[in-house]
Amino acid sequence: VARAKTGAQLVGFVNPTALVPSFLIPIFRYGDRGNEFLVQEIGKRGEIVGFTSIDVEGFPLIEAKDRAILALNDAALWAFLDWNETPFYGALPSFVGALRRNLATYVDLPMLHLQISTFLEDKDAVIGALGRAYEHLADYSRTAAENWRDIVVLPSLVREIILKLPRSRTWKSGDAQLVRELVLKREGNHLTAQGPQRLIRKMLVPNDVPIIAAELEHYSGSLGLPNMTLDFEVLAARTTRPKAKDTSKPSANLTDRQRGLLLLQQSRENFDMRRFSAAELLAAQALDFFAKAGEWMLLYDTSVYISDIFLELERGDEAISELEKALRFYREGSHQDREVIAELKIAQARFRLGHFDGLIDKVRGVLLRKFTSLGKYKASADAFGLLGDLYDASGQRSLALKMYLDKQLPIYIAMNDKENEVITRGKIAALLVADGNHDQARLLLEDKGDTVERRRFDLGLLYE
Amino acid sequence: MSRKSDRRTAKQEDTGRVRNRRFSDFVEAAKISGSSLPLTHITDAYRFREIVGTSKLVPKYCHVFDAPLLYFFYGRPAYRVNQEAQSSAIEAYAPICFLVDPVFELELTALYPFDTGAFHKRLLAGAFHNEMKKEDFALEPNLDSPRKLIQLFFGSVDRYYSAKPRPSVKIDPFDFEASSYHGLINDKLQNVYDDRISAIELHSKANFTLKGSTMAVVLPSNFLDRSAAAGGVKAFLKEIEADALPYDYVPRMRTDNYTSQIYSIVKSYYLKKGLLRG
Repeated sequence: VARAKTGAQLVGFVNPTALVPSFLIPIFRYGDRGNEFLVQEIGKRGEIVGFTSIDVEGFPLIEAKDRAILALNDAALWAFLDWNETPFYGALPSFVGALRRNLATYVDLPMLHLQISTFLEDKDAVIGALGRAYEHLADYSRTAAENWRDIVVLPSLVREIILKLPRSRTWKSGDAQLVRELVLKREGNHLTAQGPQRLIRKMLVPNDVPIIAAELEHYSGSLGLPNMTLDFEVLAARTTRPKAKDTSKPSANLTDRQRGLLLLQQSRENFDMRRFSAAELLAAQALDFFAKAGEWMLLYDTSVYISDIFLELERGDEAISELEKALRFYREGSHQDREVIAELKIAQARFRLGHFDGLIDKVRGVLLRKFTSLGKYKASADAFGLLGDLYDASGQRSLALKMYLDKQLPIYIAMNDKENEVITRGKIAALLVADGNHDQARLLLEDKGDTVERRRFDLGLLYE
Repeated sequence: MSRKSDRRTAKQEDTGRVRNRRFSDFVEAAKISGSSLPLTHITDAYRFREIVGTSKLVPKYCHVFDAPLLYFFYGRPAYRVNQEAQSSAIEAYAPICFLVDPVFELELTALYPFDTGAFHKRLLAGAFHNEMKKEDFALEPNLDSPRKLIQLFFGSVDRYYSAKPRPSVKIDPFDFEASSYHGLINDKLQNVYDDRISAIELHSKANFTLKGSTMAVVLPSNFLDRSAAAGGVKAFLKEIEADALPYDYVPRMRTDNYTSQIYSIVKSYYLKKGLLRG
């Protein structure tokens, strides 16, 4: 890597992220020899241990005013592009000083602020910045925020804390590599660090766990995980096997009905993975096969399913259009069970679109009567839930509470539908909290000691 | 003429030597088992900006094959060795990794069991006979081939992801290519090269539409910041319905910082999705 003992001249900087402000990469050349661009390789003590050729094609070069010449063992150069797009750079002590002085000016860029705080190794600043970054990401997408916290931040913190344990000084270099293999699993506020057997069983001792957990807790509180708990386990093979993916195209020798069903199944798998556009494409293909096969009931059932995809894609009008097609078919065929479900879905879609006019009367006066007469309890519960949503949206909280608590919840409890039960309990708790009844909300969520993750999530929200 | 021999004469090398299909036939004969992994495509910030504008991955000119090609790797977030410089912009700068899972058949044109850029740079030369060409290792360009190769030489996708090959594989003594490949992935050449020696490389000549086929994008965290430029990235991720997996970007000019961080993030993501078992 080290090309020569002679120095390399700074020629400019590359902005690797193309964002402003940003850290920069200093670019060098060996005097007048050739056109080769170089980056410095930095040793453990911050010294230059060599220069490596680099391809900078496509990256605009920001010119350096001071064309310093640096040699091996000199202090490495660090650079940053400030708000006014002027690079500042220097050896680590002066660079850190400049960054620290300007730190407060980056607070409105939570991710960059965190990067700089991490670079400065300022623990208090990192803790504050982590919280702001997490909240910022959650505003964009809760999934992104949780992925970042669970997959990026927490595992890296656990690894760092382990590598700073006094015991780690006695480990061999290969052992440190095992720490990097550690992954983290989260259930509610409980974290399980999973790693290789040697790490968990030999390198760590039981006394380490509370030390690691206590250190981690300094950070986890600001990441939406108060009262976090931690344990360690050996990373073992899971029992569930992932889905095979070699069926993306149904075989040509299947019947059209079979091919349609296969595509519909694949569409549902994509729907479960929340890849709605993919689900839409597959479902549309399934429709074609059902149409060719003359499987009208399957075709219109698929239309109803497609309406769910459209709703997720926030294409409410198309969802209603699909449902109305299906509804006409069900009516003509006197498929009353399906007809009322389609009607309920239309009402739900109209609610999502904010078309509330006459909707409460429709749900209360028409749908609920039909469901009751048909003995459709699950649909009744859904309709009561929709009514609750409608009352809540129109500011009638007591009526909403009545629908959820007195009508919908008992049906789910009677049907032992745990998933919907906890969702409904969550909605009720939210209404109770809005009315200041925190204790009742807590009792409701803790009732029966159910450990369904959703309930714990709701409890977490309650305590925020 | 049999179908197999048809295929044998299908592609002539520039030296005039017929492409040897023994390795491909050896892998083709294996059973498909185990699960599949998404494909990865790594790019840098400037090329990422183009991708944000079009929501497509577009083939770029490749010196090794003298043609515009779009590269993917199977499962592992690997990037292709640059032939002119020690470090490509991708490996030294802020890499961005797409994890894609094609819903419809991807138009693959070639598939290799290793990084062809490394082969071309003769970084793998120690493991192969001088007469062997990279084309001798080309596999059938479909998504079954990686699964067969992994089953044969690694035993599971978990072992493939961690670059832990099977220590022994039943290979006919005359299957020199298979023996060489097995030797390559088991050889401790790490001081010359790293675990990319066994990253399965896939080529396509067609544009790849990201919407509907992208599971996640691993990217520097400040691409999701509260800035106008980051706003465009966030809108793009929503448009292509991809999970955002932001990583902490602090340029310490140690390239392994990013690659090991991305390997770890992608592994955790696969575990979360049930694609790896641990």
